Amino acid sequence: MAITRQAYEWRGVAPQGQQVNKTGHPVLGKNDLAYTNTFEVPAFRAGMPVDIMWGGKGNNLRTSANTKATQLIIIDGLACWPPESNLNVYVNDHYVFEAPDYSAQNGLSGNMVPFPEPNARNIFTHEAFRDKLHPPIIVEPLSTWGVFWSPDYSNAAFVPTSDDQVPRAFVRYFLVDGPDLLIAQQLQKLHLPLSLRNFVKYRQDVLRWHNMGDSHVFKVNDEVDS
Amino acid sequence: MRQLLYNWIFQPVTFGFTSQNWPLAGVPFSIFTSSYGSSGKQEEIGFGSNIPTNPWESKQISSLPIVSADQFVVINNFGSTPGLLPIPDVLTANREWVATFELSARVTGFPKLYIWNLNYSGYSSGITSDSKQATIARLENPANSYFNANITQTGVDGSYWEIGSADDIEDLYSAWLEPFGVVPADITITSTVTSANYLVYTISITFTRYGFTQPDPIITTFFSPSLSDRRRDSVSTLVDSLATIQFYENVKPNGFVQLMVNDTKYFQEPIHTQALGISGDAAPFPQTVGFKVPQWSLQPNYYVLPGQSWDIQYTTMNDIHALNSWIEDNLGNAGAVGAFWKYAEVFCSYYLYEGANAMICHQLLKLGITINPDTVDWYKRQILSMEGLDPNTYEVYLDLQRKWKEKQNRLDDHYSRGRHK
Repeated sequence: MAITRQAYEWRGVAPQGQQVNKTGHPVLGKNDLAYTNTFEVPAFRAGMPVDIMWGGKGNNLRTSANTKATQLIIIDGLACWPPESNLNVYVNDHYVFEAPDYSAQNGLSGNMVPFPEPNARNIFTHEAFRDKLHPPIIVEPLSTWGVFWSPDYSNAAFVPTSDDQVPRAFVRYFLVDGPDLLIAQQLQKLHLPLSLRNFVKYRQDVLRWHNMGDSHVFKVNDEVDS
Repeated sequence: MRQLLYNWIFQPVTFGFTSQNWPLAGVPFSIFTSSYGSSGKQEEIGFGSNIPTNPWESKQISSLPIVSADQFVVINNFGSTPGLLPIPDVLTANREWVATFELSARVTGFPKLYIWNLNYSGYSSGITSDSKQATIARLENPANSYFNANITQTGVDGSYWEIGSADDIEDLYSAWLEPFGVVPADITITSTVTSANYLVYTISITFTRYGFTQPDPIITTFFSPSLSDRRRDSVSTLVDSLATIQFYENVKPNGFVQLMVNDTKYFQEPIHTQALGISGDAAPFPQTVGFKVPQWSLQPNYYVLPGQSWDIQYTTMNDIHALNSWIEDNLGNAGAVGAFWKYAEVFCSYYLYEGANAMICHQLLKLGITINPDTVDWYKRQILSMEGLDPNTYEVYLDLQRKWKEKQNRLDDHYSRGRHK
């Protein structure tokens, strides 16, 4: 695989009495209870961050997210629900979103980047984030990363009666794998943004330079001086 | 080259809940080759047979799409029905309809009436006046309980039925309405002789309701009281039964779409395991009012090369079978999973390049140029402008690459692109 468009979605809902499903999204509505009481939103505490991948609530994964030696991740989309909740990304030992004095901050709020769209409260993604997260968050090879979701208000466990009562978080990213990682590293060396367009342009440049070499018309600094 | 699409729809139209027709929660299935929704045939029950009524040939796709040697496929985007929680709408409706109409025969010796045509409007499965032959075939089948050798097709090309008794009427309508779940016991007929010397049959047919949005059944009989009388329509009037039923409908699918090429799944979890795919909330279809920004779209597009097969797999994570079991255990006949509502939909858009265009796709791939209809056309223009040259030289490729770079630079200057996409 080269560059693929990936996404991770977290929902704070699980089969009743279970709180978490550690193998991804759970099947909902499946047991012998009254049908609408088969799932619940677990209790959350105000301001207490919950990791959306291993936090023990909703759909989870077995381990924390990480990148292999041949992989790099470009996170360019974040969104969450309800509007009174926040997302913060961490890569290895630091948080991405910080307060102006570099103190801790909950992160990006659902009022800025709601999920999904359209939603029950008619909140749209703020124009500051409508054209992706810019610059994107880069997760280098052999890194650990994750996303914390934190609510502004506490809640006891309850049975949701509509989709908009379910806490959500959404992360969209490019997974750069294999040969394209080399291009990513070259772009980083040149301080060029890791955008899809730059990947394509660099790939074209490499192929063109290769052709120049093969056809013996290559000159030192060709295309640089002109 | 063409931009193509595939729209898979799951909208149950069977009489009652048929478990074989509903996907199992958590189990991915192909929207091309599975037996679910518009990709497969429907198995209908309710009239004494489990034999599928839709033939195999109506199945949309019989095998996974494989890209042949002279093709090139670019998957453009996909999406599916949004929605998360399996909370149904509970809708109360009449359990049955009774359709009543009259037919008359002139009393002259042995009274007979003549039925020229039959028309059904309501839930349509193709059994209308146009499929008169199907009705005839069922009527003449000795295996059926309503088989009646007295009902004959007469007239030019068998254009009317000659009906001589209430039994004949019952058999004819049983045969005709069999695909709609009507059995002989659902039909009651009374008759009186009027002062104008007509034998009037009053016919009442009971239709069972299988969904809240199921259209009203209306039947129209084009008949004449004798061969010398003018022909006329008899349209049924409909009365709702007092008995009601609760239909459980509009359950959200909680669905995920996964693209599969050969045996590799496109979406993976951040821990490198296979993922279910992209949810209908992140990539919704259709995109309704209030939709501003797609949370996810397939960018970059995915190229499927010759020799590879591809598939769109869909997984619903809400357990509709559990809902049905719960209704059966707790409500019995007072409730049912309704039919005639749309459960899930998946949409896929892709480009198919064939022949010379597919070859150009390979050339563009070699040059590192993104493949879309515009770049394929651009490459064609370049080939045409270098008529007489041997294109199999590095110089020509180099020239092409330089021209492409110049074109991109001009575009960049023209549009003053700031932020890179």
